Amino acid sequence: MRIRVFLRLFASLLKILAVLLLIPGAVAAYYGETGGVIAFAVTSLLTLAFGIALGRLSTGEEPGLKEGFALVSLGWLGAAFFGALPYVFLGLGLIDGLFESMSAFTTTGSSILTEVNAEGYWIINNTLADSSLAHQLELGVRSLTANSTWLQISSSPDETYMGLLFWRSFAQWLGGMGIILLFVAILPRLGVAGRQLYRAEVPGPDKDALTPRIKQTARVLWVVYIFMTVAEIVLLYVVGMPFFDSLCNTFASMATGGFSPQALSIAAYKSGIVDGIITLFMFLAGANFALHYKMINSDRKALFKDAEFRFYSLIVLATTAIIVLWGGLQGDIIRKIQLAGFQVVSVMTTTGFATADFDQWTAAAKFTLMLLMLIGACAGSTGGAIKVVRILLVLKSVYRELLHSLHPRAVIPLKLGGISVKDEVLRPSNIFVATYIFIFAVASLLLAIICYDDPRMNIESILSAVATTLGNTGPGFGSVGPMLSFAEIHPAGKMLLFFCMWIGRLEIVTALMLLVPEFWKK
Amino acid sequence: MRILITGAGEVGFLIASELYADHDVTVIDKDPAACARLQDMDVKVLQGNSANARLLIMAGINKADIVAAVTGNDEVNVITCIIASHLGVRQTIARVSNPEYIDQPVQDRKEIGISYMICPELAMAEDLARSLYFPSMLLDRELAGGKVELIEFKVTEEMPLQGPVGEVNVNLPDGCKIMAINRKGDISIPSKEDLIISQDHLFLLCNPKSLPELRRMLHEESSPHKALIVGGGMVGFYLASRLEKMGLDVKLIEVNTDRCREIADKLSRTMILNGDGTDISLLREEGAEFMDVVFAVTGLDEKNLLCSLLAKQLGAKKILSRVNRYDYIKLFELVGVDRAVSPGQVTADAVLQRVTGGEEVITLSDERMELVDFIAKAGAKIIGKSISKELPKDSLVGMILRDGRPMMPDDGFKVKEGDRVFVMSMPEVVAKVKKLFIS
Repeated sequence: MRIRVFLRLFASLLKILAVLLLIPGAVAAYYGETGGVIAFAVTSLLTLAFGIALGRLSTGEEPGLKEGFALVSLGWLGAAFFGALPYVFLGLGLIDGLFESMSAFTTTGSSILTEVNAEGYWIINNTLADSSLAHQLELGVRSLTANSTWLQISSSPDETYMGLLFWRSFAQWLGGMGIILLFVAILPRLGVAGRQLYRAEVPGPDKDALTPRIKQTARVLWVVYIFMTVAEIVLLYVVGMPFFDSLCNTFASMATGGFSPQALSIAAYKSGIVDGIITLFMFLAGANFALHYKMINSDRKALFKDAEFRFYSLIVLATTAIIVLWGGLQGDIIRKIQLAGFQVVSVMTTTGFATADFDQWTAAAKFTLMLLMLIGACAGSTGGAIKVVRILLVLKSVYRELLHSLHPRAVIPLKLGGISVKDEVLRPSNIFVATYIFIFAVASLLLAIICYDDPRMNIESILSAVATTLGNTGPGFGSVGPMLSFAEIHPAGKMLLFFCMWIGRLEIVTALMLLVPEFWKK
Repeated sequence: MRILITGAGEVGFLIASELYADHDVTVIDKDPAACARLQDMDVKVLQGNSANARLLIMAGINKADIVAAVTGNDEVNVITCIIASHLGVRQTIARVSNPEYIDQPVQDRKEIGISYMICPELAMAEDLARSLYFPSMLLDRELAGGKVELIEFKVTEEMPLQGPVGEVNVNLPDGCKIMAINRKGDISIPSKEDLIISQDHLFLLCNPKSLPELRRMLHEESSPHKALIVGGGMVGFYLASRLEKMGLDVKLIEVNTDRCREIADKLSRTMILNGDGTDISLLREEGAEFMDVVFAVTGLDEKNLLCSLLAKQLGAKKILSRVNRYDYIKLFELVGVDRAVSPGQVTADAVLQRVTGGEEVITLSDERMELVDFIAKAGAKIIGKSISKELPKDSLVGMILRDGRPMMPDDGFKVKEGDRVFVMSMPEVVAKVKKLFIS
């Protein structure tokens, strides 16, 4: 890999991030959160400075395949790092900040926040906030401007963290469609590298070229994404959700992220209509965006003709039925369907919102959800985990093998939606599934060893913590259940899960590429 | 009529031999040996490239009524037809095999100056696929635009058909008549006293409406379920896709691995087996003995024959085979293949059926028999006479279409002007029969 070529791309990415960081800063300013404004301003400046400095070191050569992979894998780490700074400046530890930031960008939605204010919004612990860098700066500024009449700064830390909560959800929204895809969409003169970046960030068997040029494709996908986002914001606002919450929850649901500004997640709104709207949009966000584009643009039935989407819908219906029947839910049948449907869609699309503490449900329900965490959403969606199409291909491969044992001479093509799947597609897909499960097993073992003396980290908590972070879902069971947090896990465990989220979002290959010695050769 | 045929292969040869007696036929072929084969016929033969406009004009293409371009080269055939239509020829027929140009057995392509494109492989597959209406059926050909059907089937002991032809005919459903018997490859036209025995193949002319009744009479079980196709070329592939649509459980054996993949991608329910159709262990493994029908349609006659015999030996109920050399048909049927079909013959039939404008339409050309449908024109000898008395021995009238309605003639039936009469006759007496219908 040519480091200096990579640095040019990486520097551009940081510059874009620096601009985007101004948005949550503005939100903080709107809510009069001085600490928030300072934290975002400092982060933005730092990011910009790094961007400019690294840009100086770079060369303008044409980026190749390796630089593309490096940008995607290291770009996500870089974004997570700089995105973590506001949390750190507002009082969280570095590891907690990194965890929260990675959880945001990868659309996971696992949180280490534990405290809640009177309105139900997440806040940062007061003792931590008191000693935070932003607060110290704030006090410093205050002493300088003590005599000024135009700048009134309070002496205590912020009461609310609207800017930060916005940032959590906004980062999910950016990460949902892919920060690199955004990069491809807006950066000029990327040329061939754009296609490689797209391939590295949007892996998976289904890669429909929607338009001849990759920049155009990236734009088309973002436009569809923005269109659906606006639709959801309007709908949620119309049915009575506060505007700020509509924004954050929409960002989190369209990205299948799962960060709600409310500690009780979607349950806080106590509205069946809100549940319904969010269920619908999560479900759509879990489907292939290329198909959404086709639906809008040409073929009105594109979604329903797609084999993966059908199987996805089938799984949603079947698992909802299982949980309704054997999940031990409270309430009448309609309430049960509502709860089960919401939770199935939320977990399967790897969003991770909750309308109930599903940790209280039966083992049958929890295990169903655990499987959904592993299966995940459709390829080309904003969701994570293994992806429905890969599961479908594994099942079809198994059936083909069985058939082949009965008829050793038969030539049996594996078809998806009537079209044969080539071996070049099938092989990496099946290897992916095996690797995913292998990583899941190894990471679970490591976490179990790290948490050996923590009695609350039972096997259920450990497995679900790894499954939920690797699949970018969010909540797990037991001590990482939907109403609890990841705050108490050993720091080494948090870093392990940090990497799980990263590997999961990049669908393994792009992340593991960094471990291949060949990759680093010039 | 003046007829120009390009290509003197199997198809061209068959067409020429059917037509030269009554029409002016000119044949062009590149190959001197193929030209030499035509010496016994009264036709004009030119040797050369049939895409060459100058040669075509020399052959009198601008005066031709019909041009049949049936060389083995699609592009040459298309060019010949385009030249012909430019020069004002009304009827042009091109033989075209490449699936990129044609996707059904016969296609109307008037917009590019070709009246009909005929694909031998597809026509053959279609012909084979049509033989599945009931288990014992071997052939089912639509005549006169579907108003009459010629069928062939194999008699088994369970069928209520034993006895003299005259009696059996009475027992058959209305609108069906026995026209010929194929006994171990020898075809004869039966008299009323001839006995039908088990394993005979009967040719019947039928009103399509009475086919369901005939099926009920012959079989308890309605239609076949399992089919095995050996050979995945164009014929095998097209046949498989037809049978899939008819709901059969199809297996196809093909020896070439790449071809297997190619057709497996295109077919949806057929099981493609990569292997040799003459590999007896493969046939046994895949249950050839339980097959209702086996089609041997590779490009090699010896392979088709061997595979047919193996399948028969294993116990398959019905065996149809492709035979590329027309001369082998009788031999194949003699040793136990239920029906042998040559793509050349099917194509020649398809071409001949479309050569209209004369007094007759030839619908089945076989060196052992001929089915011709004559149109009784004004002044023909036969008009007003009792047809069954006028016809010579070894010929038989089947069905008559009067004003588009099929009728079964009895002994006293008199022909009127405009009647379309279907006559089966042995080759030796065809000329005599024709005289009756010529004015």
